[in-house]
Amino acid sequence: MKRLLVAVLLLSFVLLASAKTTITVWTFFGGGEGFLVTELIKKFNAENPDIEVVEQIVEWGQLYNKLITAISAGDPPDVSVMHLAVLPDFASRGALTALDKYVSKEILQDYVPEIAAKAHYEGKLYAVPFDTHPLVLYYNKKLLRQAGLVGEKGEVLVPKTWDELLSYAKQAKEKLGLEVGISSEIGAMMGERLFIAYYTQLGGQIYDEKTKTLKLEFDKVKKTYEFISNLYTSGIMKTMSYDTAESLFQNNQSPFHLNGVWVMAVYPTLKDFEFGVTSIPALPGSKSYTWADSHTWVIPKKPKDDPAKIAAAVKFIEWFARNAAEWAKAGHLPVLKNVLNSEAFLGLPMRKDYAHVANLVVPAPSMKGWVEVRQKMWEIGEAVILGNMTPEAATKELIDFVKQVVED
Amino acid sequence: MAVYRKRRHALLAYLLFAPFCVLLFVFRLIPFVNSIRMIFYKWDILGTPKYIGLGNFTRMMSDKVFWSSLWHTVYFVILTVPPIVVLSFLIALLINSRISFKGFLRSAFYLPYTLTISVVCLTWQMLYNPYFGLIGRMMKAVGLQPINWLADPVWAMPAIVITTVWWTIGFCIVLYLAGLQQIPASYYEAAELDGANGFQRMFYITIPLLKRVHVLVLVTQIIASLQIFGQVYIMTGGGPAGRTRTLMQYVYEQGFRYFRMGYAQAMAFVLFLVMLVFTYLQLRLMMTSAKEELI
Repeated sequence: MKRLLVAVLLLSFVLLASAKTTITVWTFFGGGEGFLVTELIKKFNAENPDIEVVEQIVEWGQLYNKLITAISAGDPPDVSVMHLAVLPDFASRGALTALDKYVSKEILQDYVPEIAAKAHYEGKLYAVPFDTHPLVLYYNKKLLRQAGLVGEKGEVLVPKTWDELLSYAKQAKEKLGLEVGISSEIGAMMGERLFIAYYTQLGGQIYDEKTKTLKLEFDKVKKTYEFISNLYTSGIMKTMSYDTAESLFQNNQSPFHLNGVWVMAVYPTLKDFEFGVTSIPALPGSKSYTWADSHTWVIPKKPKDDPAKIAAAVKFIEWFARNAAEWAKAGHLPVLKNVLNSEAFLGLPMRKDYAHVANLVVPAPSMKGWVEVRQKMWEIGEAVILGNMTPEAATKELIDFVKQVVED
Repeated sequence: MAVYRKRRHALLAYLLFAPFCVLLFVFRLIPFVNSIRMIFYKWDILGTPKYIGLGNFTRMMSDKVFWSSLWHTVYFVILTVPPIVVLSFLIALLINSRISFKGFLRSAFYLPYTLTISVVCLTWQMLYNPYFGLIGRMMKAVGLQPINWLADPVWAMPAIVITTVWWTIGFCIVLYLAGLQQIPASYYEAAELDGANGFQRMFYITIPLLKRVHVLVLVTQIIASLQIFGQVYIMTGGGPAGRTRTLMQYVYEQGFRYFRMGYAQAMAFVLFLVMLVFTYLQLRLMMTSAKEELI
């Protein structure tokens, strides 16, 4: 009798175990972001006894290489994280599962439209985004007060236009004897992010729906490069790496700082550091449009679809997107409007100061080869900043390069 | 009986040798042959490879970035190899001489070699930082304007060279020390009896007898430097404005970031040919020095 009981128990365990769908998820988050993802996955597993999500952390610089080789070997994870900007390179190669028939209709309607559009490639949905991380402007309140940049009520002056930013930065730099007026990284931050932001504010449309490719208007590109070049020739900015730009700002040695929202995971925790965050300035007559990328979940293509696994995976990635208020502690903005407007999200430090940026984002164009184009943009931007290339030559080079990538 | 034993020995030798051969065949030779085939194809990893003949090579000819990367690689070799050879020889001489803190010197120069590349690069990145770094602060202290090493198109490559020399020189010092210790003391004693001065002993005994070590250090360093990747990848990412991008990095970018496997393979093949030339030179030089020693 006892034996039978044990056998029945064992059998039921086996059955239970087999009823459980295990899905592997590749992520590349480390530090504070990493803890948040791991915690959320734990929470999901606790709420969904029939599914077990197993997280495998892949080093950030290696994930896309590994993913493409795993897909080609026929053994990819069930779910992977992917930047929205990288999506077209994978989707165009048939490396991802189209999700249209799996995801809930109502979740898509609730998305910030710009982001939802870019989660599609050639009309099909390939990703479920769970955040957006735009370029924003940080300012050091202490330094601005010391430089006399205060209004009538004693509040620090927050620049609304580029001219204001430049004059405030110049004043603070000169008055306080600082190295820079604005600190920011020279490569991606200037060549791609600020470029896209400024170009859009000039009225440029970066993506052409008709030709499905980048659209670069010569005059506007040239004006953008002139603007970026001036930041450096005027001495307001200096060439520096990402880490240096951050250190200068964190150590009260730079009044303004251009960076993504992801640093909001750290800045509010720093001692003796009085800072503010706002959208980047706007050109007269424009809204403060800004570059942004998104983290998304995708389902890599396998040699054979397993409907049970796909269903479990979709359940997980939708759950994650709906619970993005927790994830937003890392600084990112949610992309589902009801999460973006939720008290859980807006109650986080300073989120009210930049939550509105979610509606002003300009994501990377949905084009195959964007990863290559943007690398070129970083380099051309650097060449312009270093004075090795005139804005005119840079414009020509960029437009020619895009043409070459599209034709390839 | 003796023949039988010999044969059994041979059999044992082949048996012990077999696992290595199998692994070499599976993980080296087969991929090698496949990769040679790949240079004639256009392949994005996922699709089916498309035969394009010498298309990858014609692309290479007109690719400005390929040529600049090749030049940066050669430039790196030119800047790195002479100081490594000269400095490691001098330091080995110093350690081999009758000074008191030999042990300390030996470990001080060898320790960096035991560090991983990321540790080395991050350490030097901090040293080079013009605002917070040690070098910048020292320059400021003596009234100089700090150099923005890694963000300056002129200084970025020399900065990577300094890091590399510091990192790898320990290995060459060990080679030289081993060579120095093989020179019989009697040669120096005889020379001294004949009235040879230090200069003569250096140029007529030490340097000529170390010929094989010179060749070994020179050629292995050239081959290693031609493959430079990690330091650049971590410290500058090929920047600023692509001024430190080397061929290996370009191969990596084309293959794994832009998924042009055939093109990347074709460029790697060019690098392979260059290294083959140097390996051949090494063998030739080693052979001649071995022959000379027999005479």
